[in-house]
Order: sequence, then structure tokens, then C-alpha cells
Amino acid sequence: MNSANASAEAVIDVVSSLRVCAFCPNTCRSSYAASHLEQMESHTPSALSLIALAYLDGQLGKDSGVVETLHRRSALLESRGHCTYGLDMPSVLSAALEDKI
Amino acid sequence: MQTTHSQSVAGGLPIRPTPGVPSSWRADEIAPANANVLRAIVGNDYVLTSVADRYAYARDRLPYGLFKLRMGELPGTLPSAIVIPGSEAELIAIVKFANRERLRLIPFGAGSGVLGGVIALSCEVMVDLKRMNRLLELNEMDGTVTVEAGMNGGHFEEELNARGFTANHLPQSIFMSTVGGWAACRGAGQASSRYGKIEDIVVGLKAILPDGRPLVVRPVARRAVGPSIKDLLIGSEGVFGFITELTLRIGRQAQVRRGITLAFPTLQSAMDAMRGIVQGEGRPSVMRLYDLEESTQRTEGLPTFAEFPILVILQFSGPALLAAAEEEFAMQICKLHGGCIAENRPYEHWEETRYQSYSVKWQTAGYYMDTIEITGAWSALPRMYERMRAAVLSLHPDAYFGAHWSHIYQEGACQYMTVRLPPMPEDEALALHRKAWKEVQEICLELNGSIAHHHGVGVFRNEWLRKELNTGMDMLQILKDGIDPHNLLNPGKVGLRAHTDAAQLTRVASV
Repeated sequence: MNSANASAEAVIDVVSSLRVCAFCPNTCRSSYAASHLEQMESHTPSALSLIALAYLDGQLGKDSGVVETLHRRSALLESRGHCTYGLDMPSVLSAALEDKI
Repeated sequence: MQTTHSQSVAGGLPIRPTPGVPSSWRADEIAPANANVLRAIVGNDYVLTSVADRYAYARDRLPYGLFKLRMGELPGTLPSAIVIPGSEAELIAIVKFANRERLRLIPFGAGSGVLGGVIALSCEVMVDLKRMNRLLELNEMDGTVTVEAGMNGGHFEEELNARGFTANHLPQSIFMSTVGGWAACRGAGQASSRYGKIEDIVVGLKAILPDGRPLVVRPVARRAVGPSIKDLLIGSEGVFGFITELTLRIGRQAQVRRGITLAFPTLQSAMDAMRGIVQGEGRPSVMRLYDLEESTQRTEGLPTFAEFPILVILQFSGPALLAAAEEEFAMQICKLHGGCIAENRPYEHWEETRYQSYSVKWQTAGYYMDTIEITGAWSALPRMYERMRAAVLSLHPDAYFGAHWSHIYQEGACQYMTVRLPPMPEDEALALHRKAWKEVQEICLELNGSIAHHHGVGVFRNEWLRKELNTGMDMLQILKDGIDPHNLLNPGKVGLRAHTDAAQLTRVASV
């Protein structure tokens, strides 16, 4: 596999992981603290994935507050290791948004 | 309702564009002055107004909503803001302010509902209750626990377990739902055949009515003081008030827990066995019967099922003496109906995955998958199953239909169906999906079942609620008009009147 193909596959893999997470009902929810901020919907891994997809697709522009929202990652980080489907969403989100926000 | 884009309405009328948002999305934002008042009540951190934040609150887990989001569309509208109170006093202040300004509100737990109960239809303000999340009192003498409505279900059960107790309410969504959400949608857990649904477990509650008045239903075992006010709130999905606190019956954690896998020759023989157990006063903590389709998926390679293809899972738990007696009794009934004990792998797999509710393959690969749960009487269930199955399979050559029965009662059972359509053009799929719902709900009504066992009504079942409740629907509307005359609290849900500017969530099937 040449490097261009590998890179394309990695992009597909990242987007595919975002889609899995975006439509998951937050099965990892109890892994992040019950403290108020981390339980806000827009802090959850699933919401961050949904918002990231909309941003990458061009549906949500930068003036939608998307950049600030996508930088709130404490719940996301706490969920690492608790994904029912074995995804490492903090890494996926970082890879998906690298240089884009 | 005052918003910064107050001219925007749904239903084909112009939608004023919002910066950073597709022009087809309705995204009216709360007026800045109103947002400032909410900030003064709860603090700056707890009022969210950015489009990105509001997008995260524009959905629950309604599959139709998922289909729309996959296509880059909203299920309804964006909420105009999110406000997150930290106490009952803050919530009362929010509700009273909303009344003065005619702001529409939607109570929001964890958004795990699957009928669209918290989807904004006219840019309502979401009121996220998850900061109200404390376990307030565990009363060992009375066998009750009092908890704030926004507590995560998994955290709640774990806290009880740490003290040797359980609420015996164990829904598949336990880790992604709130205790208040369980009550608001009249949910059921996996041990319902023994311990009942949430309405059987809740013994008291507190709520804030749409005008800001507090309502208290003191926790007592039983009462005879007119119709049950508690039951007006349980299952109300936020249309009659905000549930803020619940007192639930609890029990000691089970001394023993034993699961058994059984194989039956036919669906009818297994159904007869389930009925025989509960009508004979047996109460296994878990009872699950699968149709041939769902049995086959779970028993591949297991020799017993070659001859006896229908899968049943039973679990017996509680004090060792009682569980052993329950097991012996149930095994006698099963044997009488041709059942035999099989390899226990299906039970073990169920136990391992009992709180997973997401089908990655089907939900992300362009399929149209949904679940529909109804209640039927024993005398009607076989016909219901056959007719519903035939109706769904006739919709498309590659349609999938599977069913199981896992909430078992003396009079009947919940029939839980999975319906799946293959990838196809959006308009065709949404029409077929709606038609599948229509067929199933109408067959259910024709055979005198209830159109919903534990998922609630939300907005997706509105169409059938009058047939379900007949003149009871008028009673609910009169009550709603009386306690919420401006229709501010979760308008357009549970079959009640929507505002004229509400988004139309569903499309009528045209096939």
C-alpha cells in the first residue's frame, strides 16, 4: 500500500469512527463524572463527534461556536477506555480535527 | 415566544438564515435579554446559546431523527437555548420567568428516549436537569431511596449496590439515562417480570408544575384519595411538569443469581410455558423468549437448538431458598411444554451485553433500523406477531423483522420488535419506515393491545394516541389546558396539541 492510499484509508477510518460515536447513545456516559459540566450534552463524546462531522461536512461554520465546543474535551478524555465498541475517541477526534480548528 | 428571529416558522414558510448554519435548519436563538435573565438565575456557565451547543441538544435517540441527522437534516428544530439549573429553587425561577415571557420549555434528562419526546419542535428552551443529581436519602427501615431526577441511572444503581441495595429497575439504557427519565417515559427494566415497571417501583415524587408551583406526592405504600396524582406525572414526558425528585422502592441485593438457557420446539409452546409460569405465580427475575429469527442469531452452532429452535432465557434471583423454589417450579412448567435445558452460552452472552443497545453495523451503514414495543394479551399475541411480521416483511424484499418477549405478565406480555430496511433513497425509506410503524400500531389497536409498553409516546406515536386512549385523550388535553394554558411545557408531545408554528416531524407514508 502506498502512502497516499494509507492516508486516504486513515481518513475514512477516522470519519467512520466519528459516525459510530455520533449515533451511539453515549453508552460510555457513566464513565465521566456526574459533575455538572461534564454531563452537558455538548460535552459528551457522541455530541462532539456529531458536531465534528457537521463541521467537517461544512454544515456548521466557525461562527456557530463550533471551535469552542470542540475544545471542551474533559468528558471525552474521561471516557477513554470505556467505549463499548473499543474506540479511542480522544485520538479519533484529535486526528479528525488536526489543523482544522 | 420571543426570539431573535421571531418571524421564522416551519411548515413551508420562510426560515430566516442563522450564521454558520444550513439555510434549511430552523435555528431561532433566544432573545439576548431573556438569556441574560436565565444567566442571572443559574450562572453564566449554565446557559448555552451557541449553535454548536444547541445542535447537541437537537436530538434524542429517535431513529427517525438519526436518519435525518445522517442526511444532514434536523429531526425538528434547534432549541433556542439550553439552561441547566442546579436546584429546585433555580428551576422554579426559570419556570416562572418562562411563564411571564411565554418561553416554551422542554425538560431534558440524558436524551436516550427513542420516540422524540425531547426534540424541539419550535425552538423551545431545553432545561437540562442533570445537575440535580444527588442521592438524597436511603431509608433502610422503609425500604426506599429518594433521589434527584437528574442522577445517572448507572451511578444511582452503583451507589445503591455499594450499600447492599438495588432498585431492581435495570433498563438496557441504565448507564445512558437518568432516574427522572425512567419515570417520565414510564419505562421498564429487564427484571420487570418480577419487580414491575417504574410506575410500580416509584412510591412518591416531587415535581414543578408548568406555572412554577411545586407538587409533592408523599411516599407511602398505597393510598385511597381519588385518582393517582403520581400516575399523572409518571409517563407524562414533561407535558404536565418537571419531575425533580423520586422516592423508589428498593430491595436487598440478591443472595444468589442463576441464569438458565432453555430450548423449545415451537414459539407457541414457549409462549405457553411463559404464561404457565407467571399465571402459576412463578416470578423469575428475568424472562426472555425469542422468535425463530432472533433465536437463530443467538444459538448458532449449539446442538440442542437444531431440534428445539426457540430460545428462552430465565434468571432466578433473591434469597437462595426462594430462588431455588422458583427455579424448580419454572422448570416443571417448561418441561410440561416440551422445553429442555440447553447450553448456557446464550444466557451468558445476554448477561455480558445486557446494557448495550446500539447496533453499529446497521445504524451507521445506511440501514433504517427501529424498534417497536407493544403490549398484547396472551389470547392475541400469536395473531399479533404473525400479522405484524407479515405486514413488515411485505414492505420490501430485504426487510428484516425479529421479535422477543421480555416483560411477562399474568395477562399478557410486551412484544418487542426490531424492524430494519436496507439502504435506499431517503424519501422511499422514510415512507416505508413510517408505513411499518403504521401497520404495527394499527394491528395492535385492532387486536386490543396497547401501542406502547415502555418507550412512551414522544412525538412519533402522536398519530395513534387518540385511538389508544379514546375519550381519555380529551381528559388529558383538558388537564393540559388547565395547568398549562399557554402550552409552554413540552408542547406537541404525548398526543397533545402542538403550536401552529411547530415543525412537522414525520412524513405520512405515500407508498
